Amino acid sequence: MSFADAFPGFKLRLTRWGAAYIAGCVVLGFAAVNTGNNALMSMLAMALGSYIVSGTWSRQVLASVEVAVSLPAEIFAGRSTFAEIRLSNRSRFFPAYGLVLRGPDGAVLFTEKLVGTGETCRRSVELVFDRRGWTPVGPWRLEVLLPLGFFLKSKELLPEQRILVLPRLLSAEPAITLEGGGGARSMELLADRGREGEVSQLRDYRDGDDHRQLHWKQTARQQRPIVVDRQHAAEGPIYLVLDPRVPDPEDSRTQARFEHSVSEVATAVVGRLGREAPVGLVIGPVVIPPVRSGRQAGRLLRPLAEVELKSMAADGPADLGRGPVAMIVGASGR
Amino acid sequence: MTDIVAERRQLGWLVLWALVPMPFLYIVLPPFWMATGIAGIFLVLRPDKIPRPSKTLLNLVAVGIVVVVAMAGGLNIGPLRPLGHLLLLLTAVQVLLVHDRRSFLRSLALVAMVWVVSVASSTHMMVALYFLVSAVVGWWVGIRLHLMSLGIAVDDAGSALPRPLHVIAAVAAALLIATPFFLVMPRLGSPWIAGSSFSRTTGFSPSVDLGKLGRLTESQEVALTMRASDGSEIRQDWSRLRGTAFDQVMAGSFLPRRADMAPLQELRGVAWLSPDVRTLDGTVEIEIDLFNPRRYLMLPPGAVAVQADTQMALDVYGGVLFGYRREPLSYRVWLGEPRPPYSAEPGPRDTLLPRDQEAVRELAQSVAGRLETNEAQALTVERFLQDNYTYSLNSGVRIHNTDPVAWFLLESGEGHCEFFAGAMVVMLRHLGVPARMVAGYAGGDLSPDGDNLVVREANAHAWVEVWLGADQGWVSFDPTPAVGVPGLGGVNGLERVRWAWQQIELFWDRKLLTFGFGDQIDLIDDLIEAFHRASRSIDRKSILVGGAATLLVVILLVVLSRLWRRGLRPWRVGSGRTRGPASRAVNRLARALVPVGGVVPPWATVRVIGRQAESFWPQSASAVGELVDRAEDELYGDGGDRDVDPAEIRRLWKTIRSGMKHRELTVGESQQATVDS
Repeated sequence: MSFADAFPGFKLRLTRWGAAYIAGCVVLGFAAVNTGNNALMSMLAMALGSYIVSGTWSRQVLASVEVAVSLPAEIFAGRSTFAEIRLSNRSRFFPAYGLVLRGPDGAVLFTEKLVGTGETCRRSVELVFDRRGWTPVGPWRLEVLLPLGFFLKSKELLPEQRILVLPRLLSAEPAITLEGGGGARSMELLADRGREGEVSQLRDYRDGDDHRQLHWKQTARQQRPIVVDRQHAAEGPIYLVLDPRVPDPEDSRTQARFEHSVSEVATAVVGRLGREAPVGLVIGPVVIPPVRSGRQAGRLLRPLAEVELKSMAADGPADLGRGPVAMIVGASGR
Repeated sequence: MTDIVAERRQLGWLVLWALVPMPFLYIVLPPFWMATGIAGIFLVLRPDKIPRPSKTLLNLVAVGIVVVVAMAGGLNIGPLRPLGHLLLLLTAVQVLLVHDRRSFLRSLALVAMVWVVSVASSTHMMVALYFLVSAVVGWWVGIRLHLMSLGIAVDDAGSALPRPLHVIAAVAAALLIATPFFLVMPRLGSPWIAGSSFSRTTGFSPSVDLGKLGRLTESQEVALTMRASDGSEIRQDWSRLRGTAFDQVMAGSFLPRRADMAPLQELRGVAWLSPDVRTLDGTVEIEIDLFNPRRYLMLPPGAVAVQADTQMALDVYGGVLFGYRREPLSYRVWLGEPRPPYSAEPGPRDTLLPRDQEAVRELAQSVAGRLETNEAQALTVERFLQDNYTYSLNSGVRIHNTDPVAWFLLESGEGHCEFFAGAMVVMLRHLGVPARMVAGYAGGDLSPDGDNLVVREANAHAWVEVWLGADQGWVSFDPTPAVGVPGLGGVNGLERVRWAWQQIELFWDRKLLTFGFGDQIDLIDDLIEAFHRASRSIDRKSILVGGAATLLVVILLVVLSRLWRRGLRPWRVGSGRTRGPASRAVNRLARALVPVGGVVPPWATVRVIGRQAESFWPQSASAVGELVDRAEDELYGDGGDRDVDPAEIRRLWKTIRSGMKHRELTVGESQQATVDS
């Protein structure tokens, strides 16, 4: 492994303490050579030995400490996100004292007093991303000052790792999507009660099934727990249409309005999928078919995170014919 | 506890630790280090009390410090002592005023300087232990301070940081690296070297160096070691080692004559001390290492020849001067029967007398004036001095105003060996008997086996040689009372422990305290010699054997290194992944799926197998899910995060098996129902 691989973005800075130590060694060396005093020679030798051990120690710590960052699958702009950071010291000989992890702005994310040899420690760090779209996580810097603090050594972490930040969510879902598709309120009530709806199948009981779903007659007959699966009445799918075309994509007010529109659409998507109501998306000429489950939300939210303003010369929204369009928004508003 | 309070307390401990050697040093007067000690104790006991004196008061304190340092001797006693005093008082004031991190670091530098003075001024062997413990303390405090500077709590983890084991390991590594540094550091001397203006103290003063031949103090510093080349025991008479004699009496001091030197005649590789002896038959060869060579070789009585790796010359008193100082100076001496040293007959300088010593002359006449032979007079004067005068190292002589011999004989009545020898020489000369003072060493410590003699600076001694006529030549007399003559000590019983300790001290003296340029040259010589010896002994066979051995060692090291790196985990087989209990259970699950109609393709992952198993045996879905999680951890995890417990896997497998049986039962029942219908 090359030096650049082991220490990406390596930086070395002599600390004030380190400078004082070097100056002290020079004075001590002069005194030792001048007087021939072997005690001074011993002190100087020990000082130089300590200098080398300290340097080797901190270098090995910097090389052997690995940082892994786990981010949630969905990160929304403007919302706190907790990243799990795992600091692992792969060295068999050098315990890592006083590790400092700094964010891209130089602020201290956290300090770790000791990661022993072969140990791993976990920390959570609160992150907030202001803008949607592909955003670099780093570069973060891992700093090692110890053991004796002569030099501040650091290397870059996550220099090229980017994450897709989803659009900022508004505090309330647009009313039009609540009204569209029909039956939303009644379906919520049904789901809460849990015992209405057409029976779709009888099946064996699984861990986690609601006991109210037990089919007692079948259970008694078959001498094993049987539950009833009911099919809820489906809410009708709708399409949300986002038109990214504007006359002046560089205008800041237009950009702000567009961002708000994107947030509005994203909020509607999250709201509907939270109710398991199907929703599709039209972004310019791209049509994303309706999805129902929250697990498929990424199919809609990722394009929303990546969408950019376009000039009026670009293609307009695809024509859905007589499809159920609930909301059409663009940079100029609904 | 706030940071600054903790730092003040640490500083107090460091101050006290730096002062530990001070009571054993002579360069710093007790009131000064005690003042600093009080400041350290205050910091330890009351770190929260931070004095905030006014600037006026501080200025007054500064003036007071200068006055106190001046009153304690100032520069009259050299620069080191007042600088030490100044440093201690400044440290005492500065540490008390620490109130923030900046002032704390400034004080730390002062404390470090105090520590340097303490260590550099000590010569006792225990300073090595102190030094090592100081290194550990320094590392521990250094790491701790930096942890604190990062805002890390160092005491709330159950045990204080840093861990002592880490610190000790770091110090051991630093010590290992420091050793070659210590060995190669330049010891060439310097034009600014401290102590070059070392004033001559030869003569009647409490600090006597006997013409720079031996230093008569209480020093335990090793002067020389002696052993017989054939390993035989050291004879008692060998322990009186002669340097040379002094004849002049000038300004109260006996000085060696610098003129009339002749090169030693060398024949067959040895230098002969007497012109009438050219054979080594019947002699004993001894080896001497002179650790502090000062112009003259030290020779036991009966020396007939000498061999040393230096130029030598013989003075008129039988003393052998050498050319250059190389520490230690090793030489061989061949000893015959004890005999007076080869020396010229007495000349006018052997009867020179100080002026204005009428009282001394009268004393000499009264003691031995009526005796006729030189021998009788010498014996009488010797006995007179031994019986009527007291041996003391604290003579308190006032040499600038008083004739020291007269002062010793007529006033004080006490002194060390040089007073006794000087007095005997002067008294005999007043009687017309040629006499001279001799400097050298007497006595020493014998090894348990009696084959090694260690002579220390405290064994330095002065005695007298008296001319007893052409037949007997110069004969030695020792007027010093027996209590003042260093003796020859043997060892037995518990003294063997003392001897072993002395050997350690010898190592300390030679390898650390007085390690010098000569030792460095010797080290290089030894390395070159070892290389030549090794290169001479290398032939084709040894190259093959050595190469094979080296290869084996390398292979062994590589294997051990790999073992060390991978730890004691089981070997990986197959795809390279560990096949632990969970993955083996999943394999069994896959095999169990085949008879019930499951399809397990070769590429099936653990999760695919798990999903099929869940569909076939839904009663065991929960257990299957857990098993799949464990197997994935086992196969794809980092290995150190979650250990798979075989007992847990057995429990899961038992649950799955019960689910399988239930399914078999159900299927059997339905088939039976079909048959019935």
